[in-house]
Amino acid sequence: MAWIVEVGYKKEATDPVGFLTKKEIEDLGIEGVKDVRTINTYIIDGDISEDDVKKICEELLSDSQIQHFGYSDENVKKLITEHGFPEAWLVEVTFKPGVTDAVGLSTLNAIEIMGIDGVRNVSTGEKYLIFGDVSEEDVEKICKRILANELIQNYSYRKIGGK
Amino acid sequence: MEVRTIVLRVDGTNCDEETVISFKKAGSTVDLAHVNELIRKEKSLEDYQVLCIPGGFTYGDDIAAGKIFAILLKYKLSKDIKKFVEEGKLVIGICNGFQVLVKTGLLPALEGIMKKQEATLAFNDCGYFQDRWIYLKHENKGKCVFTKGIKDIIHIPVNHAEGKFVADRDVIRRLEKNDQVVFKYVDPDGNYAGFPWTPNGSMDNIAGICNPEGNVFGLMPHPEKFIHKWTHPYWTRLPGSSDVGDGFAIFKNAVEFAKKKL
Repeated sequence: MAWIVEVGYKKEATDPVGFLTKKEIEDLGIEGVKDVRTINTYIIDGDISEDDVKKICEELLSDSQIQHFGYSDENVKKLITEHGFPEAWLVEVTFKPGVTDAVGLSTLNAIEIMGIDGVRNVSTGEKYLIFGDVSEEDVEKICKRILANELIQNYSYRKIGGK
Repeated sequence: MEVRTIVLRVDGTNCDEETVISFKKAGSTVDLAHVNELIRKEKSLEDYQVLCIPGGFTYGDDIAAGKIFAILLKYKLSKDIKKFVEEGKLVIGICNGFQVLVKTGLLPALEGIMKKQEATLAFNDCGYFQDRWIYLKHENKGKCVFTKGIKDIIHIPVNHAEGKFVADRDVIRRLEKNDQVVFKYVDPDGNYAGFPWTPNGSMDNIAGICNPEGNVFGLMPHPEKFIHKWTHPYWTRLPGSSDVGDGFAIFKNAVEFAKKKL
């Protein structure tokens, strides 16, 4: 089975990529974005126990000083509540099939160094939470122009939260 | 006595050659070794007095800078490294090496050697890679072996994207109390200042720290890139007649200490 791990920045830590993305969106002429936060995702495919996944998250994938980790959409929900915005656009960027995922390969290598067997593959992706008043049309533009390289990456987006 | 230094290389290390040259210029015999040579026991840390982890982008900075190299040292060599540090031998980590030392728990090591990660080096606040010359103020009162007698303010290059020193307030208080803070970023007049003088937004402007015993030292800037005065951007206008750059003292101190005491 596959474990979906998400690593995001703690509220008090700065999220530099999110900060820069917000600036780039403004440079594109799109107004209304209040904040952008990023989350790294790792899909760990293999027969491993929850304890091993927790160990991988704690020691390898997250930095306890500035980040927290969660499984599936836990982190996204946490960020939304932490920020107090009622809703956000969630953009997901992943590699197209067949594209080498270098970070995934390094992660797999590191998991082997840790002596954890049974992981077949690790693939990575990024999630972006865009808070504020942005139209769907603008989100499409943000994805195409800033967040994804369509030659090698797929993107998808949906609105989450809300009343 | 001959001083032997080992400079550790791994996939993505790229400042190894100039680090080797720096230690040679300081009078040490230097071996540039791939970390696998230690893991396969072709080389042994017991034969060396100084261990250096140079700068670079090990494993492509994947996950976080220095993280995978740190995992490698923690899982494959922790016993040897612990012994090395306990014997009082010298360890220096420059740039990526500093990130590795912090992420293995070799620095600041308040709770013991490689016990846990007590601080981190996060992405620069500005969000970009920073590559330029900055000023450092020497803050250490004598604990750090590497910086004894160094100039008060030194000019030196930084090249990093993840150099923002972050730790709990309590950890930083203890670092100050223990005399473990070695360098802080300052402006040309020696005053603490924000960006651009502090290139990364480090807490309390911290650029380099040592362990409680003073024999493990890590810093983000690159002393090995300023060991000859003519690598300085305006060296022809530098005052004084010394042929060596500000960074050289760090290597010289390490080798002199090892010669006398180890």
